[in-house]
Amino acid sequence: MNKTLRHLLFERLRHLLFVLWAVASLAFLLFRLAPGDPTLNFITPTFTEETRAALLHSFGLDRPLWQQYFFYLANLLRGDLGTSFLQGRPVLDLLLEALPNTIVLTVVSLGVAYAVGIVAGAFLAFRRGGVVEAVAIPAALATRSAPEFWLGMLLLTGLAFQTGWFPTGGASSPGAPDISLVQRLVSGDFWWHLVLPALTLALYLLGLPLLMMRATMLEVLSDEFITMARMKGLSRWSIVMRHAARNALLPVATAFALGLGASIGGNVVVETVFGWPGIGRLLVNAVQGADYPLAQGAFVMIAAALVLMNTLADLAYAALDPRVSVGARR
Amino acid sequence: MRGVRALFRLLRSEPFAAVGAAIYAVIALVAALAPVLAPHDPQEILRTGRRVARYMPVSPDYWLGTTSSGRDVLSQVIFGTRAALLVGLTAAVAVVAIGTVLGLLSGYLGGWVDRLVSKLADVVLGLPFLPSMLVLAALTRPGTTVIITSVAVLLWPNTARVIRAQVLSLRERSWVDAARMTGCSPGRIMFVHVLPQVLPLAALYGSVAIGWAILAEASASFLGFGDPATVSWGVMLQEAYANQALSRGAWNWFVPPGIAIVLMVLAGFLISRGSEKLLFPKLAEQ
Amino acid sequence: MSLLSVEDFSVHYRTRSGPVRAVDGATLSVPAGSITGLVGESGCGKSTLARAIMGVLPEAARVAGGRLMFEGTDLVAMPERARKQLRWRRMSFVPQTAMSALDPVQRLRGHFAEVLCERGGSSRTAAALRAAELFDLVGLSPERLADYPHQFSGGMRQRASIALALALNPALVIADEPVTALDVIVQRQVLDVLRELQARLSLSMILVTHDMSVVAYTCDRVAVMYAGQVVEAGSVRAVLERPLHPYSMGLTHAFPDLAGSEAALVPIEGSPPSLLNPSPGCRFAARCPFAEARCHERAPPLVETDGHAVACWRADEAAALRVLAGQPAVWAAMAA
Repeated sequence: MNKTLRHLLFERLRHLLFVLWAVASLAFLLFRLAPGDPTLNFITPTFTEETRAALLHSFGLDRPLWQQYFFYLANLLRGDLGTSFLQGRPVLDLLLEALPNTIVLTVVSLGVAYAVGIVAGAFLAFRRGGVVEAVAIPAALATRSAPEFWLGMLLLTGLAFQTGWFPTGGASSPGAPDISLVQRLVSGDFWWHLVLPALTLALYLLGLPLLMMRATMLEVLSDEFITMARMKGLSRWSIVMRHAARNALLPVATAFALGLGASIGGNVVVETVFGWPGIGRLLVNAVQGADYPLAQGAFVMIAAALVLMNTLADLAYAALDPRVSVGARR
Repeated sequence: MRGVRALFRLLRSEPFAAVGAAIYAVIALVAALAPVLAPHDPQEILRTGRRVARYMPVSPDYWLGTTSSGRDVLSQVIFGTRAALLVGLTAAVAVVAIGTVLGLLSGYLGGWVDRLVSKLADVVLGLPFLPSMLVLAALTRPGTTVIITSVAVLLWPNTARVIRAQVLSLRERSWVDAARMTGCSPGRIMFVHVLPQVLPLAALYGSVAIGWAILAEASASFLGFGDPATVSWGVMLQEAYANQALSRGAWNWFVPPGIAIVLMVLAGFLISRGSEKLLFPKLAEQ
Repeated sequence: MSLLSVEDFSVHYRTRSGPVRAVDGATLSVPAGSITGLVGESGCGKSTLARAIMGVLPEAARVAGGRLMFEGTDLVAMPERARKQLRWRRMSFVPQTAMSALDPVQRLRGHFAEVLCERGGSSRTAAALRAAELFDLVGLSPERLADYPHQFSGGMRQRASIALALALNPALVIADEPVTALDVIVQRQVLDVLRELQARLSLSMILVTHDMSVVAYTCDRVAVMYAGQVVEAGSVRAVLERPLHPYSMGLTHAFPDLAGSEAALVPIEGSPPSLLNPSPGCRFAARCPFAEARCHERAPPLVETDGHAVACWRADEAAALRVLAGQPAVWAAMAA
């Protein structure tokens, strides 16, 4: 790895750590300063002031704020995100159970959206003008303008409720046994449940790669080196695929990585519509139920994923673009 | 006057921007004339005879049918324009205001101001939008105010970055130098001289921000963090979902508000796409 | 025997206001083994002509008439598929700015491999050897083949482009302002490379430029273009020392020559005419200090004597006009 890249890597890592720390601290502050008494969830007929004090103590909530903060950071670094108020289990466990579901949903949706979007975008760049372009562009913009959960509602009604082709929610059929991630990945039932939420997300996410690919292709196709390629008598295929596409893909690839990060948080509504047991839904339920440790943990995890992916996207772009990775040498 | 004429020329040559502007105009019109246009009061529970008119299908009496609690869907959609405009415009103005001021300050003043704003932007960009808004809504009080605040507080970095870049290039222009040499204070230079130059760019982001704000309101309402007392498209969708409209196939209930949202957000995108040519002619030459 | 013969050739651009006649009845011939300069100011149509010969024009442009006789066949009448076969194999192109003309995400050796293998049928190893050979030919170290375009300096990039143009041993190389974007010292280096190549390989080349001194330094023949037409053509010696067309007379006085002589520079006042609706008379008449009534009424034909062609009604008075053209006051008077 050359000097420029090494420098960049170091810079980015330092930046990453700073933002992670800032976000985690922000989460801590937000949740600590929240109104409402978490012990309200545990009120029983024998609830006394002592019980309440004991509860507060067991949650570490009776210590001064700055002490709580240090414990919080220390625990975070050790991977201890506290215990869920409502479910009584370690937050980390709950998160790790839900995380794979979100990851699978995100990766599949994004993958489909980008695969289709890139091809369609390149195709549109090729065929300028005409009815296709006049229809496709507004359509792509429209899918980006629609609330994802609404798209989900449309698909749910049309393809599940009214026709029964697909399940109406969840990641597994009722009564199905609890299975590990690996088992899930090869389970037909799992994928059958995945189709609608993934399709919804893919539809929503499609617009960006399509429009971006088209735009960058158009830019690249008008570049001088494409004219040169024609002068060299190269085949159209060679020109488009080898030169134009490779140049145009760089920003799109970066967008993909950024999209991964953003999606993990944005999946919240889709997971809720379909009852998909991912981190997003976990967050929503935790917030609605005032389960602060769980909500906080989910929030931090989602934010961490976002920042991590952003950093990776940055680095990947630098590594892929020879103008950055190789630098100038005279 | 020149600006207005340029505007009309733009609308004629850019079909996208024209459509976007037309959509906004229609929505604004509907919002203004809502009481006249809507056949019923959106909150009124309608009855046929003595029974509540629940889940009525599309008919001459109820053009878009009724909800599970007997309210007229069409009227709700019409009155929904008001909430949409309110949230959209307020949030857009807020985002653009914050983003522009911060971008202006960090771009023009540089130094520690720039560093501070940049660091702040980095942290904010590390926050996932929807989860953050949810958390804020849950921790304060759900409603329109927190939605608008969230949009303003979470979405300003992109605007700020772009404004900053433009300010950096403007700073080196000769007329800024001239202003400096005649002893203008930095504040005056920034807000009287530089600000007007970056406003078109800010407006561009504003039109897209409207869309983001409306989508944010819809999502927040859908998750139960909206204001159930207001008539908004997001609340309509949430009610539909919660009241089995999906399993009942009540398309007439949840499709229209969705389409309304799509149109309004789309308009923002279209206008920003079309305006690029007006504001940045050099870019368009490519 | 002419390698390339341009006969009454026209290229029009479609615009909203009507067809712009970028090239309007141009005629010139390029003999084998010579470097022929195509010189004229911006907008005179020389670049369009160059690209039209290659057959790669923007969408809005179309050939509006004439013939391009290359190695005995008319390129205009040739179907595109056959034309494509010729590209790079029989005629190649060196662009003005190699930075945007070379694919930024591909190494130089990849550029060569692409042309040599895909168009030349070489194996990859043979291609690598040939690439090294070509780099050597233009004075570049073969090790640099592993680099990306942005790692080269401007002059080196141009040399790489030249090497690339020679890859398949074409009969004709067309260079479009190959040194315009370089500073004077580097210009000279690249032009020296071209001269050497011509000497070693008997290279035939069309060198498009707006700079008369480049023509003086590098070319053996020259064609002067103005407003889409060739107004004078002949050996460099003849055209530069004894120009027959007032425009050429003006050009030779408007440029410092590379050797840096002391003669005063005389600009030609005014600007070229619109190519949308050209006048029926001589296109240069509006700026010509020697224009007469007939010059504004009828366009003079291109007449050739002893290998020196000119399109001017007063060509036989050239000797006297040349003396006048040497006086700055004559040209300054046209500024009124």
